[in-house]
Amino acid sequence: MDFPISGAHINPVALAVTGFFIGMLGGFFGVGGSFLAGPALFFFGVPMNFVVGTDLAHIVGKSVSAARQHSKLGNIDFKLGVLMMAGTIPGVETGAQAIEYFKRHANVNQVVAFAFIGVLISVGAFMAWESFRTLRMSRRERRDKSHMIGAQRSGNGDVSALAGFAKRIHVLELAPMINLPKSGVKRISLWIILLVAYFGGLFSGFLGGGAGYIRMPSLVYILGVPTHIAVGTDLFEVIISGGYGTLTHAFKGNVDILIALVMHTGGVIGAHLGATLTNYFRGPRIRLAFVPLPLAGAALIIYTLMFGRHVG
Amino acid sequence: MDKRNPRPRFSLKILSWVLLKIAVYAAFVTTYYFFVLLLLAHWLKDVFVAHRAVYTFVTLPLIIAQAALLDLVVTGLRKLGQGKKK
Repeated sequence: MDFPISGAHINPVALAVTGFFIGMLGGFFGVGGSFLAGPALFFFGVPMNFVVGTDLAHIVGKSVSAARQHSKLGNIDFKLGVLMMAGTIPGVETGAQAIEYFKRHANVNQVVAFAFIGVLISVGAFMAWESFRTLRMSRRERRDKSHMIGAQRSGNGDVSALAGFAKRIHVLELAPMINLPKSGVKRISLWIILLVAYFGGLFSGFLGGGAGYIRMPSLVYILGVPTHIAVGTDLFEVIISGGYGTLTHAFKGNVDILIALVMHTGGVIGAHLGATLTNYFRGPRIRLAFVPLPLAGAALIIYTLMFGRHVG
Repeated sequence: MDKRNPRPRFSLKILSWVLLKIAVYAAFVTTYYFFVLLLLAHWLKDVFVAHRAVYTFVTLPLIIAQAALLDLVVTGLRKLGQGKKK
């Protein structure tokens, strides 16, 4: 089927099946899946500027129902989410302007592809390192319960290898200071929140998708937000960045809404199936299983750059 | 593992029910492609070329409306499944 807006020729079944698998992995691991959706669209022959804009539209559709579920569960810190909007929107716009710049002055496909590869390899390596350290800590904790390592457990009970880092951020006195009772953060500089939001938005606007791979770890490790609140608040932020990103990229001619609609149809059932599967396959090593996914996305982009885009 | 709340076992019955749900959903989506997307494609292309501002403000409601509609369908299928289990 021809997608006349971007000029791509893609089998809609292949697109829906891709959406299904991305949705399933997303539902299973609790992530948006842009680390695979973007590379897959590029592989199917969609130009990189359309990959970014279309993935943003696709992610809005996916996040709406997920955010509704998290809102019902009380997992969204709306105060934090609204404050972050002030950083997210300028971040998305900076990313979108960068895409426009590279569209005019350079090869947008190669620039975004290389940036994507760098980000995906970094995310995979960081997740592997963090998961191994956390698993080792949990094992040590179980072995010697009396020797509880306070600095490695956040105030809200999350075990993490980097929980101590957030505590160091909280003592930075950079007015105005904000209180986030829902997230259990007594005092934190507004500038830190805006900086985290800006970078999340920048990645979202430049590489597409929700940028949960950068915002989620930042919320947990830099702001010290408990993981379940971070997941819900990140989804809220994904709707903001995805919504604004869709509008600004659509205006700049970077969104093929038909591709987003077709891909999303598969994604919905995949996400529900993935969420159902977590009841049967959950376990502490689930985060380690996530590690190969960003690396697979990077490999797909490298393959496409080396051997050309798949058309048909 | 928590003995009071044991992890449910993944069985063939569950797998067949999931596959049936996917089949129903696939049939719905195929119909949706032909009746909605093919009709919309040329109009959207024209709007994209000639009226970019209109296209911009159509994209977001379209994807949100689809998300809400498909969420209803999937929730309906899930409820149907629960009813069958009971």
